[in-house]
Amino acid sequence: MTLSMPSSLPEATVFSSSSPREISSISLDNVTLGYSRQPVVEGLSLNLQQGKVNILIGPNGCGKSTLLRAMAGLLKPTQGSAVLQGKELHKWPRRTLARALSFLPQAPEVPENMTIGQLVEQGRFAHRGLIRALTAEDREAVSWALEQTGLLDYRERSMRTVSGGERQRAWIATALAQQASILLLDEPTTYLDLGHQLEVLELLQELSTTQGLTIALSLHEINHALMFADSLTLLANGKLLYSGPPQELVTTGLIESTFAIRGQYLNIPGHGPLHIATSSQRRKNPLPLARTA
Amino acid sequence: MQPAPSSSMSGIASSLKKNRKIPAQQLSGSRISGGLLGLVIFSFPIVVILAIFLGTVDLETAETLFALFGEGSQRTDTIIAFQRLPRVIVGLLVGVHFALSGALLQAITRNPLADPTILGVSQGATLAVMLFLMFAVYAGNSDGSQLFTIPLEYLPLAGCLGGLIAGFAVYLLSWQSGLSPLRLTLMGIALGAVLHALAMGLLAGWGSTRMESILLWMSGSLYARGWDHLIYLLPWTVASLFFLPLLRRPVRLLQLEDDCATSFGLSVPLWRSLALAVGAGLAASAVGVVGPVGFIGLVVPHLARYLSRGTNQHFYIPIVALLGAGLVVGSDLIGRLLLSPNEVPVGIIAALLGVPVFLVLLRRYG
Repeated sequence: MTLSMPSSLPEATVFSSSSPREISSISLDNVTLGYSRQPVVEGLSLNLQQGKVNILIGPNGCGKSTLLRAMAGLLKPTQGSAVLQGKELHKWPRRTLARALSFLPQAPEVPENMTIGQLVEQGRFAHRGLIRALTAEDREAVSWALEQTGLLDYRERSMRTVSGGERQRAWIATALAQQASILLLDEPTTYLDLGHQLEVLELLQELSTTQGLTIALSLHEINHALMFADSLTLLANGKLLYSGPPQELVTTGLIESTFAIRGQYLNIPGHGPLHIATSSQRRKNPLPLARTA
Repeated sequence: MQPAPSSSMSGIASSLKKNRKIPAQQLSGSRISGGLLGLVIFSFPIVVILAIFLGTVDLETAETLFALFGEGSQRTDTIIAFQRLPRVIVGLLVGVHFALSGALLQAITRNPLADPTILGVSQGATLAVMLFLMFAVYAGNSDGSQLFTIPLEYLPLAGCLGGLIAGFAVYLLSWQSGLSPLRLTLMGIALGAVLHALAMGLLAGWGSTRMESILLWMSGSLYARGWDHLIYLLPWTVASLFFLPLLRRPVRLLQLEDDCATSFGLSVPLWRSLALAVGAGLAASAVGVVGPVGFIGLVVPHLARYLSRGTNQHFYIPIVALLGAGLVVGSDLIGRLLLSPNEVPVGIIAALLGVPVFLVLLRRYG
């Protein structure tokens, strides 16, 4: 491990005893983000909770992906700063940054002629560089990542021929093989059926509790966010509406107003209140079919 | 299987893993490709030896052998040392250049149909060679006295420079959009079309006196290629020997989306630029020396991928190089013998051989 631990962070000492990984977190300070001068996110500040599952929710186009790209150092803020370990993200050398954080875009393009095993090996580039052969440590990391995602028997399968769910898990395995202490995922449950969605979310939760990984992901499914988030962030129109524990978001009524839905909260023991949406607020004039004659 | 790094990590996911075996069909497929690969490796030296021993001038085998050690008659020595040997070596290098450049360009533009024409390199070289030939002819006074002369042996240099300039222009035009593969491809095709149109216009307008040599060059020929042509090829061959091992992993990552490659730790603009420079240099030098030989750059990477299926991925690039070299030298040999003493240009034979192979590959794996 090459990154030094920032001594100023009090949490560092707490986690270092239980985990060999270096501890770090990303903080965004008053950032404005945008493609070609039109801001998608304006004046937003957010600190990722270290060693926790941070979930971003918000309606389509609210800036979730943009925010995650900025956290991954792929988009330089036009204003404000995005900082990891006291250093602005865009100033990090790419390979050093890749050992500290890994990012998975939403539904990445499928590479030609690559097996799942070969793809997951790409996740070791940050450690191997241009020349170094696969070491025992690399192989172990790859096998571990494949095992975590249930893909050990799929190594030799081509990325083009496997199902959407297996493909998505292969991408997650690639990010895991990178063995970074921060994991950013843009809608990692897209294309997965409900069982596999929960499986991925449980895996991420387990990684944060047992390995102390800092995880940030965006989700569409509000209830999954309520169930799995240690810290929940709600965005709308590039602005931060709420950031904090999910239980408190439920009491604000922001979910219904932001997503323009109506429904009811249902208390599930062990999971707190979940929201059952029953109708949309947007439709002023429902179709005639919906009426009872 | 390797043990998990931490016992606490015994995955929830692992309970859901399914046991699926690789279908037997796939195994027998890689056995066939493995056999074909053996055949290719075995026949490569035979093709090279045949290309030295057979030709338009019928030489005795023993005489050729003597000539190879400088012990033959003067006539045989000359034919072997200054015609066949350099021609075969130039052919080998040109084949390696076209094939490697095709493999590089296909990977970094993420376009399985890419070849040296996709960056406008071939078209740029063609236009430059035409301009060169125009000036070589017309750079005289109207009364026939020479104003100045441009020696014809600089023709490969003109072609090489033209190709490099076109490739660099495409690079600059794509820079603003972060060298995205789509942008590179569109710019390359657009610029290539313009350059091609200009070249055709030149050919129609002033080409009559040199029409024949221009057409011969455009179909890609190894005729009368000698030792001096190696100067244009070898620097790029050496550079690629140095850079290709470094480029192997970056090029593999560049086949992923830019965001993925970047977050896996690759500095995408740097490595894409370097890979483009090597690809364009290999293509431009080869086009400059023999003209735009099509299909080698397009077909060989696919063929090599098929042949290397059962092997370690480290062998892919050497197989690309071997196939390219063998295909060019073999095509040239056929071209020399087919209508002897006339020659069919290597580019035509390469295309005639390459297309059926390509169609078979497309049908089976497209």
